[in-house]
Amino acid sequence: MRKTGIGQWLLTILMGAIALFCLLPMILIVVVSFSSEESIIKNGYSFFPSAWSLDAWKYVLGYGKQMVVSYGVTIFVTVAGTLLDLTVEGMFAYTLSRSTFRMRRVFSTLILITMLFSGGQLASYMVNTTIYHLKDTYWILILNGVSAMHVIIMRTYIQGTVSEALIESAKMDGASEFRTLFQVVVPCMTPALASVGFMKAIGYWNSWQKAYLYIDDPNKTPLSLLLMRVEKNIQFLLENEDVMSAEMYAAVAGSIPGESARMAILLAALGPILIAYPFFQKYFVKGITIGSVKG
Amino acid sequence: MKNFVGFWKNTWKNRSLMVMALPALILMIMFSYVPMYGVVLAFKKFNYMQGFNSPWCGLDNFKFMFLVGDTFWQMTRNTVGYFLLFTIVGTVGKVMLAIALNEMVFKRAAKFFQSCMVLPHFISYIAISFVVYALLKTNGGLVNQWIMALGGEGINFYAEAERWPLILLIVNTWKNIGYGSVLYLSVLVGIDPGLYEAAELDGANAWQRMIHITIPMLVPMIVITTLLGLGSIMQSDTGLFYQVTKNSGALYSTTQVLDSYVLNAITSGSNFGTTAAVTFYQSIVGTFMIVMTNLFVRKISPDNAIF
Repeated sequence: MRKTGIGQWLLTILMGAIALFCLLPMILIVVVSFSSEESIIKNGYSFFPSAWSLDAWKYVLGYGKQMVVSYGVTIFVTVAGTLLDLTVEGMFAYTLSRSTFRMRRVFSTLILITMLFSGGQLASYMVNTTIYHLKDTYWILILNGVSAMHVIIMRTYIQGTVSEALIESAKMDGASEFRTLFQVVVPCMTPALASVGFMKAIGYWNSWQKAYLYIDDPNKTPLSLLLMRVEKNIQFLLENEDVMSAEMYAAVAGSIPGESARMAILLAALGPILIAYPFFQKYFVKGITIGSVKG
Repeated sequence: MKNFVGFWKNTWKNRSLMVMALPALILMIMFSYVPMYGVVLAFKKFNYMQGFNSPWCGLDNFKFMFLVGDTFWQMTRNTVGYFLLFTIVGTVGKVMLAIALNEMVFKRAAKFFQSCMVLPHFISYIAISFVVYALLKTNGGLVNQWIMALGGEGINFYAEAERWPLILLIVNTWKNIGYGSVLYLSVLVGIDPGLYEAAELDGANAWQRMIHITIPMLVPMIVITTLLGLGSIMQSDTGLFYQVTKNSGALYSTTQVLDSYVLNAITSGSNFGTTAAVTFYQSIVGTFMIVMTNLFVRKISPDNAIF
């Protein structure tokens, strides 16, 4: 048993400081979103604003339609994308785990090639827009290629936890392949599904590049893109301050949220992740370890 | 021949497995294999009207890519340079963090601290770019407030390229170090405590135990993750290089990487031929790196090889 000497306390304080450092930006966002606009304009950003205010949050609630629409789009894309991916990749992983299935060699090779070589961003963009015509559709936000890493995580997990004998006995009892998968294998692989699902959901929730490249329609604008637009407007304002007339400036400035309101919008977008995180953290550890050890 | 017939018999017998694999195969073909064909754009004189049917132009695009020389080498240098910087600093940091967390006697506190450190990994770069802006902006940014409080001159960060390697290194480390340390910590937790007890009996102090037991136990994992990571040497996180830098043109000399160049080219719709050549070069070098590193990994630890 190691003693809790002075070294241990120093170590704990150091680690606590690093942990706090990791949280500070989130704390800053919260504080700024509750700061009064005047205090930010006068004193700049601060962890200790001179005056507190709920105005930013009133603004967000009043920002109204676009915020609600974008929230809806993001939630829909996250849920639909995650469920679709888990189903498609889960089934694929199951076929790869069946040692009696000889075609699995071919499938493994096919997925391996996607890891080795990719056409690149530009080729994908051209294919998606000129051949599939996915610009400005929900499909482009939801459909992706198959993630080799996630398939491998699930396959490894199935091979490690579900014994061949269990599957065989289900078959003996007359269960079809689908029934075996959904009633015998899936219940055993919930930890793997939860960890991969969480990673995917975070990915969909945070993704911005596809929306940025393909989405123009405000009704299909997810939160991430909305945040980018807000940011762009502000930049536009800063860069053109001197060339714009006073009325024009006032018109544009009136249409964009203030500093505190931007942080409030940001927090509204981050909120669900911060809330879901504690419940899922025990699962992703598993995902990280399986995913990287078994390449 | 018998083998061949057996193979198809087996496939027919397992036709429900084939049905299960079908959706994944379709997605793979649509979004991975068809775009692979897109690399032919690198050898075509692209115009919008004809798209993929544009006329061939041989290696002209590549000639142009090397002609614009400076930007091209600069982007390559940035891409590879940041990759190496992040890998070296990141790995050292992750390993040190994992060892420190593992050494803590207050296990509950260690667990809680770890949760705090992992959290940034799940925050989007758009959110982070807001925060970085709040820290660095010229008027009212926190860092400039501190500098001025100490009597210094305010710094216009978004116009001074030479400061960004350090800024990006800090942001990247902040975001990924906690998440990355989870992996090393899982190795440490698996070390047989008997080893430490035996070493202690033999009179090894804490430092010697770390040098002779902990570190050697971590080395295989460090080598393997680093080698496998090398496969993505030509790729960068556009969130970091495009969002956090606010895609500021003044910073390109130290912040533009291949991926952000391509993203800019697509959104501005210009120069598709050269861009196609750049992505082709990026893909080929990437493939080469994956194959080479995998050969290495297979030599030292066949279980971890991808193929």
